[in-house]
Amino acid sequence: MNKNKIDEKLQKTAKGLLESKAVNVVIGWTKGSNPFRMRPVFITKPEDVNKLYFNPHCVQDLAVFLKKPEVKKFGRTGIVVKGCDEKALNTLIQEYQVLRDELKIIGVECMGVIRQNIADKGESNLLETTVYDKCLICDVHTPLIYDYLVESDIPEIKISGSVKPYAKIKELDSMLVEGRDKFWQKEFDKCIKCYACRQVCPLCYCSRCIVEKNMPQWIDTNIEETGNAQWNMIRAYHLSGRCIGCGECERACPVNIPLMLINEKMARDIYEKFGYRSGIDINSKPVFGTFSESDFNEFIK
Amino acid sequence: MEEKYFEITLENIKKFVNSLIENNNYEIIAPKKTGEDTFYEKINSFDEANLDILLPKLSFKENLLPKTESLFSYSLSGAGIVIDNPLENEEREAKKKIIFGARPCDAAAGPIMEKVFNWDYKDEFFNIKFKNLHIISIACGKPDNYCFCTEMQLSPESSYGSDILLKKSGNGYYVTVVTEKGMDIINPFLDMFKDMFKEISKEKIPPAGKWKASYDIKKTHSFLDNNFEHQYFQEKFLSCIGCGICTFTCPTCHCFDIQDEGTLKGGRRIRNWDSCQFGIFTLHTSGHNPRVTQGDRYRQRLMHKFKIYNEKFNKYLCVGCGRCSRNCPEDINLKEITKELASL
Amino acid sequence: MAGKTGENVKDPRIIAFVCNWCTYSGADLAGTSRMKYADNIRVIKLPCSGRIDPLFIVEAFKKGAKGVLVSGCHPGDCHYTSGNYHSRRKYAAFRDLLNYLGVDLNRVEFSWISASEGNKWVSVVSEFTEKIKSLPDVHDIFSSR
Repeated sequence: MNKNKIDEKLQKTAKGLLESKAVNVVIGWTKGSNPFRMRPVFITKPEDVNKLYFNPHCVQDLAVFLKKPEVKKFGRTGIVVKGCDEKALNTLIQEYQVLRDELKIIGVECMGVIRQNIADKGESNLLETTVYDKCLICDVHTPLIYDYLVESDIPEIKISGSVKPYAKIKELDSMLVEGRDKFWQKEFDKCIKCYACRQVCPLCYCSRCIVEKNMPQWIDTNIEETGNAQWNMIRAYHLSGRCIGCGECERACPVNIPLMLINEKMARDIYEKFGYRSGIDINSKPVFGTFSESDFNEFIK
Repeated sequence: MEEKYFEITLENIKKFVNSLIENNNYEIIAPKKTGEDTFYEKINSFDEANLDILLPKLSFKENLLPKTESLFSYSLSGAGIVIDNPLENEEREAKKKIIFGARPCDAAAGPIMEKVFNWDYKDEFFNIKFKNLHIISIACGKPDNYCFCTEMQLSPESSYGSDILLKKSGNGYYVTVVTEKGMDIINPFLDMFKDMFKEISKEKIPPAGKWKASYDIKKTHSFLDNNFEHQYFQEKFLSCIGCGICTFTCPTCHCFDIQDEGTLKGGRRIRNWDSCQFGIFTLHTSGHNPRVTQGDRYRQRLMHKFKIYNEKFNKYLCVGCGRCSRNCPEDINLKEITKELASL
Repeated sequence: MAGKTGENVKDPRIIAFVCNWCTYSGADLAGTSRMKYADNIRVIKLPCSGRIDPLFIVEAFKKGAKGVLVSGCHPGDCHYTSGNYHSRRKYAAFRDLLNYLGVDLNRVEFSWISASEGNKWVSVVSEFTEKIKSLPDVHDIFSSR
């Protein structure tokens, strides 16, 4: 496979956009601390585009930067996205957070990204066992919407089925409620409330988060059982029906709380009950922005 | 006190740690594999400790400054109010802790932090915990490319902040007992097991490796002195998303936020970890925020660590463990930044 | 919440969040008709069931409520046309989340009660109170252990 071809096309596209002043900045990935880490980069000058790269270590969802006031100041923005990241753009457009016309979307075909903790040990092969769970169930190897597409000749990962993505969800579903309580209690106990899950999420764009409101204090501030549980619950609830499954929260979490087990479960429930999947259609209404008269009613007396 | 030197075999160190656990005079905390990563956690036997890794994912700061600490609590009983001062119980009940298998960088964090907790106000909550915390560290053999303790005027073999420093020998460890606290741990074993700790002379311990700093941190300091408004901060930290990972995983970051919690029946005043990377950290009631951009906030972090703290306490507020960089979701690398600043 | 101390398992506190137009009037009707029901319940009136944020439920549990009842107008009857439809969607998802995180769903109840259904209010409240009283005193994510 020729990785340079991908980088070449990426750099050429970005250069064209910057030279024609179609955008003021291109957000992409560049080389990071070591060969197994990539980092976000903001290119404003056409001569800098050779810093742009794409490879299976480009784990970050760059859509997160669109909420930053400093980045908004640039105005028209070009952004390099994988399929999953692009779904975040769709949801942001749906929720009127960014304007489609202000964005130039440079989609890259992606066959999966390597788990960062494995990559840190020197792994750079795309395998069933080295990629994130989200990549194993990915149906957007080619982004849904793009202005420019950078094709990839990386072959799809061979899936033998030995790795069951999000298998724990089924296990938790089959437990008694006490079992689930115990499981999550243990997980949330680790939380240090660094709020990285919130900050790294492209869809957590509130300028003032619910935990920062103290009149009244809805969510306990303590970093113990009650505060942690309430925070994790409300984070998950505010992303129900919105989460596009990029998995950034779980990747960022310094204490390894399996947040995607909650997000994925809620996404499945929402699909089951309302037939809605977030980040697919920019013209549809957000699931909680609308209703149907025939909605699920069984739980109401 | 004058340092003392011993030699101990691998078998004996195991016996030593296991008897410490059995004697139950101390709570033993060590790097322990939990899930995919290693954290400092309580161990119930020597074998639970994972000493092969470079560093646990988080520091053991929690043992000095808990994530949430109750400063006092109160409850209503009839017409009266009962106030409970945890300090009264803490002095009596605080259990002595040993961090076994800490790294020299983590060990150095304690005495550095101690300075600010005893500067104008003596923070007894911190002091009691600091007094009861004993550190047995193991010299580090192979720092990775995020590490920069040498640049931070320490070294992978420094004994600053450790009570006992172990250094790998052929089939065991060389033991340097640095403090009285360290001696207190070992003394009972010297009497009981004659051959466990074999006293040696300092010369028998191989000299520390020649660790070379790749840049001069004083240059970083002097850059920060003169370039508050430098464009570097705004450009470099465009990619910072403002999570608190760097500060929360940092062994020396110590900012906290005091909050009240309560119902009609009772409540408490607590202090929680806080982070200068949060926009709300400096937000005034008026709505004005003196640190507007993430660049401003990260600059504050650099200023505090590499300028302000040093000017006040003659120590940099950084031990070069590199956790902020390893854990950063956007790969912001502090070693790289301090190096860049030193050469600007 | 009333500042009564010494709650116990036999005397659990239940909070009801109700809409102004239907359920509150229904409860009022039950009162003026001198119907009897369990006194564990405390009613909090809001303009519409669409206004009842899931955070209210969390807050009630945090403050020690054993059960929470949410009630509004029947589908199609909302004073604001669609508030109850919106809240139905929200709560369908919120219930799933609570259940998944290990909260006993017996502790939350939802109902549609119109202004004329004083007797339905009485039966819903009585049944719910009985259910709450029968629950073991277990911990969940809202209570510190």
